[in-house]
Amino acid sequence: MIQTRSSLRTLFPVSLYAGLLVAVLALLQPQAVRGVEGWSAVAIAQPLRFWTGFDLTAHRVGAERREAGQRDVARRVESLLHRLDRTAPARPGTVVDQRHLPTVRAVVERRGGVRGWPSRLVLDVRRDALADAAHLVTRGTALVGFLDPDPVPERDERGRPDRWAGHAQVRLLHDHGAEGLPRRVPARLRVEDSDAPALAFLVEPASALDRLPLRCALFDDPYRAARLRRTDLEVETSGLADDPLGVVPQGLGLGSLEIYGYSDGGLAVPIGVYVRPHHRSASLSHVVLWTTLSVPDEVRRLRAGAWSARRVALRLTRLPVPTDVRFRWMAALRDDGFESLPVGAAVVDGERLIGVLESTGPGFGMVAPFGQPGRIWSLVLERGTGDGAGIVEVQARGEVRQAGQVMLRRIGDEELPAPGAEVFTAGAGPDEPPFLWVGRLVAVDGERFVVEHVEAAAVPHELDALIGGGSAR
Amino acid sequence: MRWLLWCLLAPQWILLDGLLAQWLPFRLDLGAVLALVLALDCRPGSTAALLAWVALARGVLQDGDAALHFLALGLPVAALLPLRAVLDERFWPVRAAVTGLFVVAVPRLTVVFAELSGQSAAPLRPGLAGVLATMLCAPFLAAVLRRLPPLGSFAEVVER
Repeated sequence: MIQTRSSLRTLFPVSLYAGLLVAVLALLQPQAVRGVEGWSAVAIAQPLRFWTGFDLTAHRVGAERREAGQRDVARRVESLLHRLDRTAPARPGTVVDQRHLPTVRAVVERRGGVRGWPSRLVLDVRRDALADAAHLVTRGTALVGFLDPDPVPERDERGRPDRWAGHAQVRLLHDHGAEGLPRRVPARLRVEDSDAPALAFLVEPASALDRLPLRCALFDDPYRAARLRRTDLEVETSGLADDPLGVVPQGLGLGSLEIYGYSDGGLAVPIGVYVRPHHRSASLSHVVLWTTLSVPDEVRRLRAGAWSARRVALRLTRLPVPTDVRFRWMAALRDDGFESLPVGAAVVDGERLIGVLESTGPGFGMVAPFGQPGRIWSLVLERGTGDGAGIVEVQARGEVRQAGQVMLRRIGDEELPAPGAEVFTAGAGPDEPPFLWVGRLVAVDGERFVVEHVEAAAVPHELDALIGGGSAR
Repeated sequence: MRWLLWCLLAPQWILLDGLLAQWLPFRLDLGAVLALVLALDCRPGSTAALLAWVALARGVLQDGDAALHFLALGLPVAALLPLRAVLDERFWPVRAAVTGLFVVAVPRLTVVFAELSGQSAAPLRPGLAGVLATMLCAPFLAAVLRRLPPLGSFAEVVER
């Protein structure tokens, strides 16, 4: 057919401009086109499964080496959990009696919130197993939130069945509450070098426009509040005796003070006083509940191996792609089946995280290797050894992945541990359990750090994906 | 039939691009070659659908959503498509220059849209040698693509 270029429609095709407009809308509302993308991914990836029959680039790792690696991981996780047990939190005053013991529980999913501050944490325990638990949820000496009296409902906001139905959930301090009624916490400023009485106020969830999730309101002395200049002050609970929403003991940390306002010679004249929580909710891997359950049993349940996720055998093929990493793993079910794999499922070699699944479909999934540039990872890093040992939870964005090393950039201001620390996952969803081993920290430079991770060429051809199904209890 | 062939082969073109990125000492950007053919050779009415499939394939095989890739590829294509009216698009220096624009612009646009939408995307950015190599090779590779199925059946026949 002969066409001429006389018409504008030929030079300015409506379909292309309409497509660009739709793409802009899809970029803003990605969930609107998830279905189309999902089906297209199936159509694109199914022919690519042909390549998984050719073991051209993947290397097999000897059984002995893998077994040795497993023993190492088990030892490391055991050591980490011992430390967690030892660094159990301070008893929060008189609210919990001596029968209550700190119970470390893993976070299986983070929900709600805005701008990287999820406001609810789903725990790996059913709510009905915590009938005698105190309402406080802590980490170390900090109050992180309150145990929701209701379990996760059977169905989510869209009416779909919720995979964590019946599980306990924690409403963090910045959660706006089920009916938009936030839990305000009576607080005071801890000023150790001053004779003045503590400044009392309420800490409440900030608005979606604020930069930090908590803000201070209703100061008992607004004049003193207006003269606040220091931002290194610790905010703690004041322990209001007749709090109608339930007593919160005094002395629990809430975070550090941050002041926003007009510049005044390098300082700020306050127009807003905020609290930066001690723990970033997006990277909280575990919290402490106060129950009458036995501590060692509960802590042991956090072992990566004890997670109730189902293991699905995968066969991996390395596909060459024009990205910084230069390859993409395609995972297919080893039994050539067509079971749908969930997005976000951890791909593991034993207990070691290799990557997570993206763009999944029936029987296949593309794997984002750990440290994939641009992707955000929630991690737990060991800090020190001996009595001062502990863990640091960080969120970090992958920057470079090269020659078995991954460079990441910390999001937040947590102090990174010294090189040599072991790195674990903090859990990022129902299919990526916490405390999967990632590798060893080999360098720290300011906010950047390098983690030694398994070399792409040494990744075994046959791996597993973890598919969460809820906890056993 | 030609659409089916396109759906099967477009993802393989991305894999070939990745394979060359591993083998060659410089970056020969086959994505830019494809964009060149779509912008200057294919029938404008088919361009959106052809691009959409490439974007979906890139969304599966690379990082980022299909929408991100459609915008990163589609904006330069939409901007250059009207050039057919004023330039002789078969003249190889024109094609080389257009290719150079694609090689430089597409990875940058990908990163910009990824940052705007909070996605992860790390496209391979060619160095100077890569840009020059792609500019030199693209007119010839595009001529081959234009004559072979499936893109051959989408090529515009121009009456002069």
